[in-house]
Amino acid sequence: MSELLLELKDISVSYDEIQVIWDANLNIKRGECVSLIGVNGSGKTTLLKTIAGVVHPFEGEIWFKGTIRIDKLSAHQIAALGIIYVPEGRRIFTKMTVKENLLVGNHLKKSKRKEMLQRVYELFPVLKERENQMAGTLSGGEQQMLAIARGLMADPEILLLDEISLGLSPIVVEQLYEKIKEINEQGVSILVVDEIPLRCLQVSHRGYIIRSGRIVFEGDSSDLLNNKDLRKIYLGTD
Amino acid sequence: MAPPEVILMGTFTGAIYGLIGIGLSLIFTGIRNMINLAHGHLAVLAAYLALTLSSNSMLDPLICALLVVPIVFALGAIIQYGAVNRLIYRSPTIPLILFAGIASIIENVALLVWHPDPRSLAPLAPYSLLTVSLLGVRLPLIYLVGFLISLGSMLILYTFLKHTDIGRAIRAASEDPEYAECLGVDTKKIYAYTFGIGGALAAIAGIMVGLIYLFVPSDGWPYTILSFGVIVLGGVGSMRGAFVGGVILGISQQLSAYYLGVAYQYFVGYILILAVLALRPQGIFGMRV
Amino acid sequence: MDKKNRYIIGSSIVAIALLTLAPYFIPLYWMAFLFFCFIYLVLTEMWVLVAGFTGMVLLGIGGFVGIGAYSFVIFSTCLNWPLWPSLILSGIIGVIIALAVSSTIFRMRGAYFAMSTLVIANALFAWFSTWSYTGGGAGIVVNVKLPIAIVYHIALILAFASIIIVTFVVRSNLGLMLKAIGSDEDAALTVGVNTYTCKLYCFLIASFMISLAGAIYFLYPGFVTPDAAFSPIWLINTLTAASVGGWTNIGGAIIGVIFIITLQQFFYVNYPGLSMLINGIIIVVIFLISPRGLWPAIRSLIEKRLKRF
Repeated sequence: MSELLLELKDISVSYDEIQVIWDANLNIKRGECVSLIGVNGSGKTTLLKTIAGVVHPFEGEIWFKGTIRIDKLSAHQIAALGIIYVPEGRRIFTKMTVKENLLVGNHLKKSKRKEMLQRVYELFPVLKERENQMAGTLSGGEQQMLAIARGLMADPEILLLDEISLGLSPIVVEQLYEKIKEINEQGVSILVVDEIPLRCLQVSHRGYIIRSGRIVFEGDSSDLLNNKDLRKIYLGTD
Repeated sequence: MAPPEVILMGTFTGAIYGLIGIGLSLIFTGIRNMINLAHGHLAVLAAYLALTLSSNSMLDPLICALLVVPIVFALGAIIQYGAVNRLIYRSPTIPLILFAGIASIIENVALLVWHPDPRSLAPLAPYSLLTVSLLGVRLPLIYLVGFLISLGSMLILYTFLKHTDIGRAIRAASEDPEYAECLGVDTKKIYAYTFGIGGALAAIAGIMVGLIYLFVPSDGWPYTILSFGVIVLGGVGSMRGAFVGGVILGISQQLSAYYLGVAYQYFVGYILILAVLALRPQGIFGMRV
Repeated sequence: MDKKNRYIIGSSIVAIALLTLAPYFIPLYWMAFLFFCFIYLVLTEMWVLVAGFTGMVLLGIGGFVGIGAYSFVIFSTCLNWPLWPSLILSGIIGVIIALAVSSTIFRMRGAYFAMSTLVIANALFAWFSTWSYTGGGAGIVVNVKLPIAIVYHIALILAFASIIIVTFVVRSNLGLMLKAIGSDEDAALTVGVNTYTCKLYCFLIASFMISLAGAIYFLYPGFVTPDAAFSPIWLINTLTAASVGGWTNIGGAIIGVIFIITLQQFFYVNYPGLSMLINGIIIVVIFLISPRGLWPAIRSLIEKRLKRF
């Protein structure tokens, strides 16, 4: 927990001349799990997309491992560096089989790829069972697992998980968070965004709170969870 | 009942139409619902290139195809990478105008280089005069060759899309380009491959048609429309559908040529396409546009 | 703004007066030159309306030119009807064809719409290539004897009318809705624009004007063949004129049209095919350097320069 893996410096983003992110500063250390908390429309997804290179900031810098500046790179280049974005809404390739989904866009060597496939199947045995099934026929929870597994296949340094529990049953969400914890323990750094801030904070080390495009709080997850005022204001619970 | 040979010849030429249609369909589904208006022109260009190469080297046109098809692949990839990629994000109709320009360039270069009189590859391929007996019907060998090469090309394409990294990336980019990009797929490069492969299929079909029929520089337009007709009839994005769509078009052309006269074969084909657009816009096999 | 408007109106009146009187003092060659300009101006203005503003890429523009030309031949020559009814009717036939296919093609969007108009144009081409009543592929003589100056004046009126119509439509309520459809049809639909009717009006206007232009054009050569009437050259020339003049630029179309006709006349003598080759290159190059068209880009460049002084 030392090396700075990802660093956002004063990032500002706009869509069609409407600014949505103001001077965001955020960092992730190696091995960390960080959550980003905020209500709908606060700019969480935009910030994740900015890191992933889907949208580009008009101001500020993003550094990877302290030496590589990535805010002007395109999404596929960022993905090749090992920063993988798992978008919201369980986006998978429905017309391809589970296994084909896992193999898309893979730059790894054949032997390494086999190893990753095995690792992913160990983590999500249900995907192994359904590897030749069309991805579109999976259940919602399985599709979300596939999306995460898909991200893992690139052997990423950082996983950016967007709204992972959207539209899923509480039991499935619980299973997913167990997996996220496991992935993080295997050494993958994670930035997670979710509608359910409590569960999200329980697995993460640190948390950021974003409000109307500005990061308003940063601190250890335990502080966030224990501070009554913060809980009331930002998490909406007592 | 029409003579069986008419049906058989229609089926065989129809398979070639299916092949060129699959090229158009691959580009359509693979690159953000874009229609390659210069598709037929790439096919005609391939036929002319094979003609020049074959008559200068005295090699068989089919052997020349081994060189011509990669050339058209490269040309297609360059068109996509150098020009179309810059416009594609605005709307699927904008590239149409660019392709109209490219079609005009190809057509008029062909006019200047090869002149407007009809040409054929058949004189360069002595076996095209042979006939074979099939199911009790005698027909020119070249039809069977065209049919088998078209089927073979489709099989190779299917295997390629199913089992290679680039093939998977093409399918992924076709379904959700933004997500594919997030997973490390360089969609611009993949689009170039897609267009190149689509163009290469058109090139194979163009050479096959050139072995069977006469061709002129302006044939690009009807070839493009027939390719579009194949995906209208067969439903977009379905290889099997495109094959059947091509065969239906091929048979309808042969039948109308037989009963109404050669002059009517295009008219009947176009009316068939319009009828399907009017009655079943999702194609005969029900894939939604 | 008022001053600018007055300037435009004033110079237009002078230009129209000069163009009206032109047949009496310019040589035949230049009269033909202007005649071609008028015909293509109609096509280009209609393209600006249909494709530029509304976003319907009418690839089958040659289909309407051809149907106008053949309707006129049938009425005036085969049926021996008088000139004016034949002319007006050939425009109306274009509208009828447009109405007949509208329900089919308006169900489609984007590239499918564009391609289906091209299929229709080619189906008409294939039909007139075989129909012996109009001479099949060999074509038919237009048996109408008109002084060239009259033909010139008809074309001038049509060109002038097309500018007025497009200007009027674009500034009207309909134009506003057409622009909404052009920028985002689904959004236009959700805010209550009846996109179907708007597109239909626009399409019918264009079909009438283009068919008329086709009918009038063939008065000049006096001979119609399917190859000439339904030629893809109509489309390519119009696209070139629109890309030079700007896709949504009513005035720019005039510059675009003068440009293509000059090019065509220049190469016609030696290499007829070369002007189409150059047109193709121009379309591609302009698309790559300035996708909204050449003239708007030049104008904004000049305006920037002027502001600096």
